[in-house]
Amino acid sequence: MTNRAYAVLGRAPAQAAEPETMAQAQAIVRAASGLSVTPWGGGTRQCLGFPLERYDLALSTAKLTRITEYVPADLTVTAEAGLTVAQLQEVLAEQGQTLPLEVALPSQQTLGGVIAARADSLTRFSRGSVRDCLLGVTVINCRGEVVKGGGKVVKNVAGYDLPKLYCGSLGTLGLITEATFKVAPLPESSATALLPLPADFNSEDVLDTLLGSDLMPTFLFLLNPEAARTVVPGAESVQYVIAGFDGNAEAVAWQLKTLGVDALDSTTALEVRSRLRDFSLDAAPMTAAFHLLSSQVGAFSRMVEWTARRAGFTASVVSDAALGLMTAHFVPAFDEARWTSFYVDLKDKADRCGGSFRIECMPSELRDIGTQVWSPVLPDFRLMARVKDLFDPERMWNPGRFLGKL
Amino acid sequence: MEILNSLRHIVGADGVLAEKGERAVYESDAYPLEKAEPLATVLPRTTDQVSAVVKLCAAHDLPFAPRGAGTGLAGGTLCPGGVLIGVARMNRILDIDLRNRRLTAQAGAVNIALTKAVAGDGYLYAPDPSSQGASTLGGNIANNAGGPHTLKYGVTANHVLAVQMVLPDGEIITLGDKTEDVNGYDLLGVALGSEGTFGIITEATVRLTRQPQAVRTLLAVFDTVDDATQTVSEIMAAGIVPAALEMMDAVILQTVEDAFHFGFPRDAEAILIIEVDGLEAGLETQAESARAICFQNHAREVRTAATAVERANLWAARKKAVGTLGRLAPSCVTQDCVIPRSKLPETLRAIAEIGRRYDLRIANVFHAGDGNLHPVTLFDERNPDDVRRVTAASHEILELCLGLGGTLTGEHGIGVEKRDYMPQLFPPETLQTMADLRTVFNPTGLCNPGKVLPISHGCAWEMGARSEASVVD
Repeated sequence: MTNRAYAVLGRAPAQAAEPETMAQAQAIVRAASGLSVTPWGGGTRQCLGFPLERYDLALSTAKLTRITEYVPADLTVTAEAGLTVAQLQEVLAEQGQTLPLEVALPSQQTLGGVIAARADSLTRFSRGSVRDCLLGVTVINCRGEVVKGGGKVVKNVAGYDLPKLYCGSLGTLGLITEATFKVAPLPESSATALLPLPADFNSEDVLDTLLGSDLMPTFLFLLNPEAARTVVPGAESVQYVIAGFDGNAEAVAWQLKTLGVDALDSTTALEVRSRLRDFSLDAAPMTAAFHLLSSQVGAFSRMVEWTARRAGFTASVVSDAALGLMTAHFVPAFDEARWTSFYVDLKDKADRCGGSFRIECMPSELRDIGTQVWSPVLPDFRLMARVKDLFDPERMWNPGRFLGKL
Repeated sequence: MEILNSLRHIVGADGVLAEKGERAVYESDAYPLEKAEPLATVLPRTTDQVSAVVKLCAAHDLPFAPRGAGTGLAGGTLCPGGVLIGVARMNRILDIDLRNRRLTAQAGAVNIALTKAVAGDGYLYAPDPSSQGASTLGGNIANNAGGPHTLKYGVTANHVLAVQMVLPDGEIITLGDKTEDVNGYDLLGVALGSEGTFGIITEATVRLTRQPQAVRTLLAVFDTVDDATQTVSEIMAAGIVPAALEMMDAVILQTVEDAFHFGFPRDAEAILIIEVDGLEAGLETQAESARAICFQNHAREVRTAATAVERANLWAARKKAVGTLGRLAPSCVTQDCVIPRSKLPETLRAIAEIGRRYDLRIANVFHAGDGNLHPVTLFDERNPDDVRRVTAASHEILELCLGLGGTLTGEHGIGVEKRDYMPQLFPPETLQTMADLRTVFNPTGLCNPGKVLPISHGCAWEMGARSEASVVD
């Protein structure tokens, strides 16, 4: 790969390296003293963050792809960071097991990248996020030393929880080289069901009823009509609730019967499920992710749609209705549509809602005026800045990229 | 003393315990091998009072530490010569939001009170340590407490969304919020389980879980420990995800039966409590699979709890099991190591051998499903030779677990008890990284000093054996 392939927001590094072993990676980091280094996994989330202050070296995990320990009876697996999620799933599936994460673009996203960018998972409501299934992590720090957080067993409170620190740190504290995860048995049976709702229908009562019922969906999503067009084949211009059920066959059948709907046929179900899973990484000029409460999802989804429409944009909105997490892609509908005024309006609405949001990717029109990527920045930022100072005093790792330009 | 008057000024005269007898009450928690009197214990009622106490201590260069109910098993609340901040009076539930499945409570709220507050509405707070009738939310968070049902539902850290914390400089800060995600470094995640060394937690928002529609609780009886542990390994390997999978051995079965008269067979070598829960549909199939595995491994019988009352009695017996060992010996030390689940049978055999070698009775009652062992060693803390043998045996058990790829503690914490074992588990660079993380929150080191890491502030190693005087004799 040329250095161009490691461009971050249009900027290529002076050098790129693809170590094949942990020792090589350590040696490269030691030799890189004084340089700025950007860890590189699958490259799927490199648009996230502020422009780098400096960019000397891209450090790729592409050749760190070994599964170092897998004892199916322990329900844990340890693998190197460059292995893709899909590659790991394939090995686990042979033993009837699965990494309980259904992240977007699993053939591209690497284990290290999923951890560093805290990638979201379709089934997070029932099976947790990467933060929950990550048991241990090996990291090369700014001095080229190996730091081993957590461990290989499923319960562990020995010392501070370093895996949680590195999870979501976006490559600003070191290079993740290896990780241990909890795995789970593959479900015996799976089904996906669609519930269409009229476009301007208040979905809240439906969602509240579902979440308050005895049903135990693996995931429960709400799609606005625009998002449904990309996720649901042959979608009508309506909202959809998509519910997934996994588990033993009797329980899945009972839930479909109770819900009073038929499951999608398996081909369509697979397609809907993978499109829904991949939605957050669909290309768009601007993508925002909102962290809300599940009770706010219905109203806020419509508010985002209306705010966008008024400003001349089209919004595709997909919400994890059980968890209150929302992803919205925005595309200008008219030439006159202005990102700057729209962003101000959108931020105002999000701020009033509480919670927080991040702009996963943004047009240069917003980036050039220094638009915040993560909002709000709260008093605990003081502690975050101290973490960066102590862990990376020379600002080697992804300098200037993270929250508050850490 | 001037400092005591200042403390009384902050929390009221009835909130400062500094008389000789009062200090003795707070000289230890549930870890019996080390004791140290605090200068005083304060019992604040508000976060502002906690902040004022912390600021006062910081100004006087006095160490301070949080304390919940004192059920900790690793000496995490020892605060020699310092101010112990007890959160017992801060026990209010502040907010219940059933629509979003959230509950906010003060740190001193007792674990079981959270579930009781929402049980009528069909919800529960999932982490259920055996101490849940006494232990507090703040203490549970500080130690990232587990419990039998964490096998399926996860430990405390999987259920806490936000904490309000008084930092060691007295600033009141909130980490996390009511939503599932916040931006930036996961400071909440690292604060959970930091054993009170990052600050004093005063409030927390937790996730509520719906009560399962149906539950099956099985009691499987075995004639050998090997058969029982083999059953555990096979159940997990078969892809069954029990809500709980617990084991008790012959030693503890006797005392539990004496105390609770549940009807455990006195001649059994081991029993397993296997619980599956979820939707009624398909649950019997799961229970039947578990039963079949028990019988394949020579279970003498497999009973099913017939009623909710019987199930509740069974769990009461399990959760209060360690307490019943008081019938056999004046003291006991509960270990908390974790091993890969496939190593369960060989580990239990090795622990029995260690007990024989040191002439100690070791009872086993533990979370078998996730490989979290609790060998309980019986002894008399007034007998120095007993103490010496217990310490040596504990040491061997820990070495055994580490050698099998395990860890020092699954849910009780490092505290002072296992602090000096940390270099056996983690390389120096990792310990230094942890020390750096502590420095982020606790730069002066006054907040709960001497816990978790064998590194003091300023990076000097505190690796020498602790003084003999600190070991009770």
